[in-house]
Amino acid sequence: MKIAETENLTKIYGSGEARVIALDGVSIHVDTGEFVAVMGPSGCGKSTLLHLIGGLDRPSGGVVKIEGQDLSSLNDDELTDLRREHIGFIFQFFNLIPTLSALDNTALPLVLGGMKPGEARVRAADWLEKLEVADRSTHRPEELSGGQRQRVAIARSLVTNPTLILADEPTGNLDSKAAQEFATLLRDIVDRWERSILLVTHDPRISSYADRILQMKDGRISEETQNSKNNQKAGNSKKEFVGKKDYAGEDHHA
Amino acid sequence: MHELLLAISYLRGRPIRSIMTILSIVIGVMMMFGLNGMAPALQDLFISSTQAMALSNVDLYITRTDGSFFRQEYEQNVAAVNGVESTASMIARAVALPTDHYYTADGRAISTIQVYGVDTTNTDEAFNIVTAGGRRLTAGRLLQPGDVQVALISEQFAEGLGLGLGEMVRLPGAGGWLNFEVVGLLDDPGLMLGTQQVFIPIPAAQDLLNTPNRINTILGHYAEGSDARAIDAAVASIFDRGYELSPLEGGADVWAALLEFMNVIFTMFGLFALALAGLIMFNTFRTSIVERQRDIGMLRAVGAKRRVVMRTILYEGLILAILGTVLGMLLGFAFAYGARAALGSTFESLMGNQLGQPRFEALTFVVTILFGVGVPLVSVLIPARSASRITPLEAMRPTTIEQEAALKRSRRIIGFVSLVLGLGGLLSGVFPLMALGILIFLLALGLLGPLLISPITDFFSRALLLVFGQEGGLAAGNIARQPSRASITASSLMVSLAILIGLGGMLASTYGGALRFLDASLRSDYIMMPGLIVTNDTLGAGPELAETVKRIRGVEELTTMRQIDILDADGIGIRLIGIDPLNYARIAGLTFIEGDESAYERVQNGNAVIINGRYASQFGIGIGDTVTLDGDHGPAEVEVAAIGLDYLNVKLPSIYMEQTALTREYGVRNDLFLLINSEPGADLEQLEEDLQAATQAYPGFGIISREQLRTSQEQVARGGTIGMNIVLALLAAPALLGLANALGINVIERTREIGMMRAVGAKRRQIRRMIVAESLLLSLMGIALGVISGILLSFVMTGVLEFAGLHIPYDFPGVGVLTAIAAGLICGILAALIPARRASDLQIVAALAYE
Repeated sequence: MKIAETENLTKIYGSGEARVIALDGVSIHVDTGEFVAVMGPSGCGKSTLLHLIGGLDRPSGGVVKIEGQDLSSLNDDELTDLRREHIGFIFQFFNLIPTLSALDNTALPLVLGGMKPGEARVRAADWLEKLEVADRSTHRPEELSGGQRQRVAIARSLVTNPTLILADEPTGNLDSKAAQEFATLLRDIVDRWERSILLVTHDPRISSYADRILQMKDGRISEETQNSKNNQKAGNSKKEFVGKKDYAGEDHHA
Repeated sequence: MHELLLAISYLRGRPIRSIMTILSIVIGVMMMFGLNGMAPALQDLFISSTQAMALSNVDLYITRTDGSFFRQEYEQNVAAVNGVESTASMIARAVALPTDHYYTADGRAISTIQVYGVDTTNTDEAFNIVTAGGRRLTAGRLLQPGDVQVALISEQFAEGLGLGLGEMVRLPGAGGWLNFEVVGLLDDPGLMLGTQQVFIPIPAAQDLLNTPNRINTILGHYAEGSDARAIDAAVASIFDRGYELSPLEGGADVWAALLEFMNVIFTMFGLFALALAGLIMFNTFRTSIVERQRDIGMLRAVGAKRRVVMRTILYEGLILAILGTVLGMLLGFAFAYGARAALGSTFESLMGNQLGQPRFEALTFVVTILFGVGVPLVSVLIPARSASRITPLEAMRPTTIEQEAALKRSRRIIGFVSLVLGLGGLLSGVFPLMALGILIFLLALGLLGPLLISPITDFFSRALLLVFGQEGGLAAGNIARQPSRASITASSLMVSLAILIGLGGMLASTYGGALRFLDASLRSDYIMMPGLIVTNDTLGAGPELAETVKRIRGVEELTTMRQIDILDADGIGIRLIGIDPLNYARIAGLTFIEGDESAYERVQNGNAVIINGRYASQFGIGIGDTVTLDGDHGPAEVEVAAIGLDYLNVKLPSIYMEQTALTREYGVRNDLFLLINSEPGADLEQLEEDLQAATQAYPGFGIISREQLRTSQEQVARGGTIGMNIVLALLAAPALLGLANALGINVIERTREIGMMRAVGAKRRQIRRMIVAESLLLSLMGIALGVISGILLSFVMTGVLEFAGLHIPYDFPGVGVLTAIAAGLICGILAALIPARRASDLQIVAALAYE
């Protein structure tokens, strides 16, 4: 089942001479329990794609559907509800609120959704436990290591039981060991809890954990690679491709 | 130069913050400049009635410093001085009237008649106040020897009264209205609106004013080649009290002092608003430096020296200060002219005089620019210095908002010591220490404010959680993140509210106390007095009025009070009150602070006086000490028998003396107050009618019952409350701007965080609620601290009144506290409007990418 899909998605910034086409007719999908990585050089449009799928921004053209729901039909409040209930976000800079403990940071989306703080904390504690940072739950972000902060950020993204996790360069601020641990964790999220992940990254070691890798260039998907299961689980950076699709030459504007 | 360009680019990059900071300066400058621009016009209005005419060809123009009368024989004494060739007597006396007696032809009320007593026996043209004073005869003749009951008036005055030559003009006199034949008409003198001059022979003036054998001006010529300094010394030896040789100075000292006081108050007001602006700028720049840490680090990394960074920040402050000052002065102009337009007619009807146009003197410009630019610039110094200390390494660190380091130990110690010292001063009971105490106390609150933030936040966050849900909790966390900033923001509100409550408390105590005092001390059933009392310009009534009243059916008894305001040897204004001690004790009575009723007996015998609290405190005098009364018969020492107060005379240092002594030594023959008791069972309606009828002959006199006086005083209290609300509005504005500025900065600083919250599911409404909750929390802190310090301040201010000799019990400023709380909360909500909208309107993607 397609958790997220885009059809002919376009995003244009500015107008006239300053017009920049960030996304140029991108059609992709993420299936249930699938881990998809989007790679590409800076400015190729991968973060824009993530923002549009997450409903953080509105497209200039095309369609985004989450669990079959067309996002263009939703107003701001409905979009906010959808984000909170169906999508989890993981950011490069963790974006934890410095005044809240790890536990309260994790519970934040539930509380914003109207759940009683006590109940929200119980659920948040559960996720911190699963992500092995329960012992840090009373600590504030400044008292946590980079890896721990990112785990708390993951717990926050999962606490509402979303079907889709969107991660934007989540290892950009982690050292190599922590980044590897993080990638393993993402793989676990997909395998153990059957969530779908759409990850934007520069790091091939991280993308090697994905089921599928989408290469972007100039606002388009230029290449799609299917990763073998062996590679994913081993975290092996050496790729054994089970399939590859080259988008070059396809007409996206059809 | 590049520092200036950098500064400009930063300010343009943050337009709203720049505008709000400028606005805070604008308010202070506007108040300082606008109010001081109005002061000269007000001064003109007040002194117009005391200003004498200039006589250019007179060598001597002698008046007493306090404008009071002296015996006419002094003229002979002056004439006898070696070197004085000739002399003339003159009377120049302004008579203030209620505004319903005379009107000009165009219907404007006349409130002051300047009565000139002219020496018709002296034919020296230079001494003729009419012709030498620049007036021109347009019809009839001038005054001449042998004239008795004749007058010269202006054409304009005659037209208003519908009079022609040979007809009778009715002039206000101490013994009632007197008629004078108009023998000449003069051109329009171009005096202040509401003022008219009347020229009559000296004996007629003495009769009119009830000052037999007394004058208040001597004119003279020096003999050719005489030694002016020697003459001055000789003249000085003639007069027992201060005298002036200039026509413009006599009697104007009181007004000059009033104006000076007014200027100080206006400047203080502006300074206070500017100090708040300084506080706001300090806060704004401090937080802006933290926010720009990376930029500044980068500047340092690419080669900017410390002083370049410092200069850039100082330039920013300077640009804002200059813009704020210029704009504030422009608005100050508008404010002054606007106030003139709005209040002009009210003043005209109240004072019977036209309020002049605002005038901006050089000193006003200098003071305004000095403070308008100086205060903000000084406030930016510390932030600029801390900016220059940022190292290039800071540029490499990610901008995260960390919790402020714990309050520095030294600051904490100084704060606690200040608190103890401040409280000590407040409780000392010694006025200067109390005043100092309140300042130190406010300083301590400022220093310790950050320590109080956490407990206050905890205290209020429960309530916020109830009202705002989880957004309230988030707001509390955001505030607690930066206790110093929160405390500075809250303190601008605190200071405003503290002053509001302080003023409110003092007013409440004063009015409450005054009404209780009125009940206790003014026991007579009726008071007969002039409707308008302007110190020595109020005419009073000759003793015949009291005689008339005594004969009215239903009057059981009455007592009279006379008074004169003089300057003592040191130039301090003193009120001498002549009472009829034994009657006074029975009918009205003083409230004794020290001593008792037995003092009346001693005053009656003429060997003692009673002083009021203000006199006792000002001169440090108590029972048994002596005061020197310097009357017509030279200085005489009398003992103080008691210290007491009456309701009518609490503001000036006053001496109660036996009435005939006041008349003998100071020539005061007119009664200013008649305190009347009715007979038991009298027909009060008829009595009031008869009393009213008795006053008809006495210009300006009216009758008021104790109840009516009480009601009118209550109205004054209500007026005071309105005044307090205006002060509140003026004080709340800078606090509001400060709050809005701090919130705006918080929003900018937390842009990415807000973007994240929106991404993970916070609705726009929830973000708005969070910012409003933050604002309310900040204002609640301001309110909490403001209420505490305000109550203390009101206590101290009431104590200051006590020190000034007014014994007023402390009334808790309940209304002030409630108003302050409401004002603070309204401020909190208003301040949040723009920042909350900005925060909720943030584009999520842009916010997430914000650095």
